[in-house]
Amino acid sequence: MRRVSAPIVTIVLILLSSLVPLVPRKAFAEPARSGCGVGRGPALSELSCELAAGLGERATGALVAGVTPTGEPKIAVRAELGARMAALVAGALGKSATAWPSTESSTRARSLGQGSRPLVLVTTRIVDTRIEVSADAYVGRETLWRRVRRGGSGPVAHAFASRPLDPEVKSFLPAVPLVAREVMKASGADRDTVALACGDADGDGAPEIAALGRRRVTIGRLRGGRVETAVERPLAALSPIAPAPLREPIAAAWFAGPGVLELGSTDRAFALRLDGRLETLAALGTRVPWPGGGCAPDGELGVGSRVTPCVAGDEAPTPAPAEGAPFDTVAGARIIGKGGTVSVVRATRTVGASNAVVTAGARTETVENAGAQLALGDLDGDGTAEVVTSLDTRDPSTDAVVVRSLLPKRGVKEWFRVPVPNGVRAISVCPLRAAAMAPIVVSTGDELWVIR
Amino acid sequence: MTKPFAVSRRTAAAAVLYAPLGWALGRTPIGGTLRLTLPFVARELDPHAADDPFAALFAPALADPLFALDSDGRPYPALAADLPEDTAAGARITLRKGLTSARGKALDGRDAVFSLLRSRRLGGAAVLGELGVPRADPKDPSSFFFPDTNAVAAAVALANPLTALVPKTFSPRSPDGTGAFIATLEAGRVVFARNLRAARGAAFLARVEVTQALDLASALRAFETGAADVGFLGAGLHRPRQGAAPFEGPEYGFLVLRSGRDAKSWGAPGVAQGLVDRVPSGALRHLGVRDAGGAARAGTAWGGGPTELLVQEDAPLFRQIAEVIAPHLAGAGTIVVRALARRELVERRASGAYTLMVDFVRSAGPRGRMTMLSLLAAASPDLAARPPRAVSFEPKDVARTLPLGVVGALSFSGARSPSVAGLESFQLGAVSLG
Repeated sequence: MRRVSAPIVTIVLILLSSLVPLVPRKAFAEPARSGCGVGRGPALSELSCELAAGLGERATGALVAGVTPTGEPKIAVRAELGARMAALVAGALGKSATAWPSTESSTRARSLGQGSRPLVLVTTRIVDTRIEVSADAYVGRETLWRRVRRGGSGPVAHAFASRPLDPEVKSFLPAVPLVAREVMKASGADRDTVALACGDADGDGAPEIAALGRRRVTIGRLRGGRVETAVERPLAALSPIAPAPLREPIAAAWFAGPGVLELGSTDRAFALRLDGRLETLAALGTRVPWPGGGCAPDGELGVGSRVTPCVAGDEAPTPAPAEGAPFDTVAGARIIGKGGTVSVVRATRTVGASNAVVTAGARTETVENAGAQLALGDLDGDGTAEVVTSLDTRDPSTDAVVVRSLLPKRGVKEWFRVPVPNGVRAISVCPLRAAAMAPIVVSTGDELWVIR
Repeated sequence: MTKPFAVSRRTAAAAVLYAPLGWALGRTPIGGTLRLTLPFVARELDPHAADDPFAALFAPALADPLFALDSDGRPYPALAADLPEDTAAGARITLRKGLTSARGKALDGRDAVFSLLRSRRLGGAAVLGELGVPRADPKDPSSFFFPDTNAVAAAVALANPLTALVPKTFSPRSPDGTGAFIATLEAGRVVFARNLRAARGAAFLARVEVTQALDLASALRAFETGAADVGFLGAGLHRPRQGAAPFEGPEYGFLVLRSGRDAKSWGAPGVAQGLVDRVPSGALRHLGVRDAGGAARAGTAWGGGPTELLVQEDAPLFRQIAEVIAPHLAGAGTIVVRALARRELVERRASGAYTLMVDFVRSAGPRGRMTMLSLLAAASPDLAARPPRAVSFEPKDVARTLPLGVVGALSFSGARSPSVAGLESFQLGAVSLG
């Protein structure tokens, strides 16, 4: 028999190992979402909880190491995010697991396996509006000789989780300026839009736009300069006309979670909680949901201030300012601070007033010359809220979208304004993006604008 | 079997609600009191009255019809849940759930039938005369039928304010409905307050106060001095009020001269129109009376001897108009103007026991066939039920076949304070004070 030389064997094995797909030795664990929350708390905390649950028993007592994080589109992600993620996963795995103190390259990280305990490699990737993290558990040491003899060993357990970006994650990314670089306009919008929401309706990670009109609700995207409706429902099939509607409707819409849309207007008898296909999940207790959580009570000339749970069993919502009701506009958002603390910021405008009042915990700020369209969100991911308003004008040609920030301690700073000569009918803030300001969606009647 | 309606139901559902510009941008200001001083104020307010100028202008603020017409004249549901459906039993109409009148009465299909029968008996003959007699749906209290009537005809007819929905307990002295306001009638004054139960949206204004003026001069003086926010037919008595903005309101009806049984041969059809043809064009322009339209003729002088020209007592404007036209109808002193209480005037008109009378006919709809039906119904409700084929729908031409003559058309125009917005359509619920 002809003898084959050792170098040739090595090359062949390496080539084979690169062609054969990574076949799991054990079935991969499904992401365990239960109990970890989705979009309600800090992203890193939810991710680590979900990854630990996904790895299960096979990662008990593991050494957890973070691989150098990457970004797409190409973005400089601070290496500390890898180590931070590893530490959180180790914490979620339990006391016997420990975290490697620094971020390592994938080759170096894989070589950390000691044989006596599992090794978990945590790989973090930033993809536009989301953070994606995978965790792979290995057993045994990975030496060069072992790779040569048996090929690279695969993980014994794998888990994957993904969440929208939040300020804590954004703190590992380059800061983005609050400027309007581009206004993208799309035709084909409903002229009678009264509220907008922007978020992930179908769980694919990309944001969609939900538009509440006076006769229908739609979910769609902007494509080729047109509004492309993916799903629509006539409101008559969802909620009857209110016995005593307001002459000028007050409306609100927001994504309360991935694939959970809450919307309502004073035109209709009750507000709705819908899924991403616009199927009813629940009829809400009042006519207008309050973005950020809870429902605004019905009032005679506007909506009231005592926020209530929208349906029995919902958690108690963060209170709204008691003074100033009735309101002709309500807005709100869950803002996650850099340290991962979650707070609900609310904004209101009293009927007949021309300014908005923003409340964040005990803090209250007044925004002058605010119109009837308000939205809140963290546009730059710095952990403080931006207030997006229309102007208090009856002349469409003088209307504009104005973006202001709550300053860290006190006061409000205007960053920019974009004239909207057809008038602003509704505003919403889209999810954070890695390399740019969170987009703002504006209904101008015939068009939808995306300011980014 | 249900038949699809000419208007898309989706479009219709959209239009149930008012759609003012102000749903976006800054909101329309809410609150304030609009003050009007007018030379005609009623002691009763009846949405189904076709002979009352005050009702023509103000009743739509109190009560809504079941349907409304869009800018192309297509009907859409207002208080109805949907457009009518054609069934074997006729057009079936269902009301929205939860409708409540300003005074707290729950409203359903039985109130609708009551309202339509009442309207048909009163001023709605022009609109409902050609339709069947409505009856309640025994299976569904929120529905009713129009037998032998198709859905389109029913929806168009029921979009007319003369067919407005009122509760079964309706009284014109304490009027009630689903409109933007609730009215309180006082001596010489009517106060409209915002109706928070309004089925199509409560008014922006908190109140509208309408005070009766003794004459047109008093009304203009009230505006000039700032006691009123709207100048009826002008911007002031002596000089225009500073900052006043002109406005042109809608045509709300016709001023007519009726000839009764006591006029004998001078009461024949066409004679009254011949008499008013003698009134020079422009003689009544300062009183808000415009040419109604139709062929102009030389006219015929009254030859029935000395007589009275009856006119409504609590409508000073009409008294003034009567004083102007009386000398043109015959020689000076032949015809004497006599004011009567509205109730007596209505009785005289019903019995025909008068010679000449100045009266009001409400416009039942836009110019055209509805003009003809309005005038026919004013002459006799039976005529509106079987209208003739007319060559012309012009008011004067129609009147030449009737025992009444059209003096002119009435419209609400004048001047407004610059703070008053949305007055042009005279939908009081949409008026605001900036």
